[in-house]
Amino acid sequence: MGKTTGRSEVPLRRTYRSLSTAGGRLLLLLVLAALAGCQFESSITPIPWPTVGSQPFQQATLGPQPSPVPMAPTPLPTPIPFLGVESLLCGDPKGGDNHFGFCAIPGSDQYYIWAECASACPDGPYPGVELRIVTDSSQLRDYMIILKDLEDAINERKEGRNQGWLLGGLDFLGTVLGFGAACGLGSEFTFGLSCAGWLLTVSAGGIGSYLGFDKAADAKREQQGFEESASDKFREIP
Amino acid sequence: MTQLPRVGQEIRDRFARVSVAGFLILLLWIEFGTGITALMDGNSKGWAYLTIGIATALFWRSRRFWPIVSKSTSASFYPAVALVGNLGMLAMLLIPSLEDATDIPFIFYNAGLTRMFILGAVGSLIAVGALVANVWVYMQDRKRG
Repeated sequence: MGKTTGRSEVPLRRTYRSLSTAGGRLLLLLVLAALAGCQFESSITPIPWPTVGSQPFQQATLGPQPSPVPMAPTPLPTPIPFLGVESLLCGDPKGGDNHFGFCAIPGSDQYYIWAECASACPDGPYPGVELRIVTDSSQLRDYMIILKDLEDAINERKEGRNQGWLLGGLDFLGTVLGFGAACGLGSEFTFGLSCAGWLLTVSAGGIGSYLGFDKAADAKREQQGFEESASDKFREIP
Repeated sequence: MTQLPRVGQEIRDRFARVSVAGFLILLLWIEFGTGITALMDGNSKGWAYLTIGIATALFWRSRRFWPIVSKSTSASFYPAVALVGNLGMLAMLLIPSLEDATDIPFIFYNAGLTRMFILGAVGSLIAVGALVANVWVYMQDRKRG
C-alpha cells in the first residue's frame, strides 16, 4: 500500500513544485506591478473651464399677448396739382394751360415758363411739370408764339368736333324722321320739290358734319406737332 | 275686325315714341352740351347751339310734331331706318370719344378738351341706351305679334 502511495506522490510533488514555482513567479510579478502602480503620480494640469454664473429665473409671460394694432401708414406728402397761371403769381403777358405755358413775373423782367416733363422730371413743387424762371429772349418769344398756335389748334379741334356732332345729329334726325313728310310713302311717293329739298338738306348736313370731324382731326395733328415744338423750344430757352 | 289694326297701331306707336324720344334726347344733349361747353370756352357760337336746342325742344312739344313725324314712323320699313340711324349716331359719338380716350391722361390737361371728352362719352352712353331700348321694344312688339 505504502509503495502504491509512494508512487503516486512523485507526480503530485512535481506538479506542486512546478505550480508553486509558476505561482511564485506570478505572485512576484503582481507584487512588482502593484508596487510600480502605487508609486505612479498623475501629472495632469486641471483646465480652468469658464462657466456662466447663475442666471436669475425669468417668469414666463402667461397672459394673452397683445394683438398687433393696425397703424396708419406714414402719410406721404400730397403732390400739389399744377393749375397753370392760377398756381403762380402771374402778370401779363400770360398764356397756355397747365400743360405748357408762360407768364410774366410782376415787378420784374423775368417770366415763369413751364412744360410737361418729356422724361424724368427734375425735383420741383409740381409733379410732372418743369417750372423755370427765365429772362426775355428770342427763344422765349418763339415759345410764346408756339403756345398761341397750340391754343388755336385746340380751339379748332373743339369747334370742329362740335360742328360734326351738331350737324350730324340734326342730319340723322332729319333723315330718319323727315323722309315721310318730305317725300311721301308707298304709292304716295312723289319726288317733288319738298323731297328734293330734303335730300339736299340732309346731304349738306352730312357733308358739313364730315367736314367738322375732318377739321377736328387736322387740328389734333396740328396740336400734337405744336406740343412737340413747344417741348423742344422750352429746352432751348436760356 | 277693328281690334287687330288698333293693336297694330298701338305697337307701332310705341316703337315710334321710344325711337323718336331716343333720337331727340341725344340731339338735345348734343345741342345743349356743345352750346354750354362752347360758352365756357369763350366761344360765342354757343348761343347759336343753345338756340337750336331750345327750338328742337319746342318743336318736340308742339302739336305739329307728331303729324309730321308720323308720316315717317308709319312706314313699314321705319324700324330698319331707325336702327341704321341709331347705329350712325352711336358711331358718330363713340369713334371720336374712343380716339380721345387714347389720349388719356393728356386730354385732361386742358379743361376744354376734358369737357369735349365728357360730352362725347355721355352722348355715347345715351346712344347705346337708345339703341338697346329700340331693340328691346322692337323684340317685345314682335312677340306680341
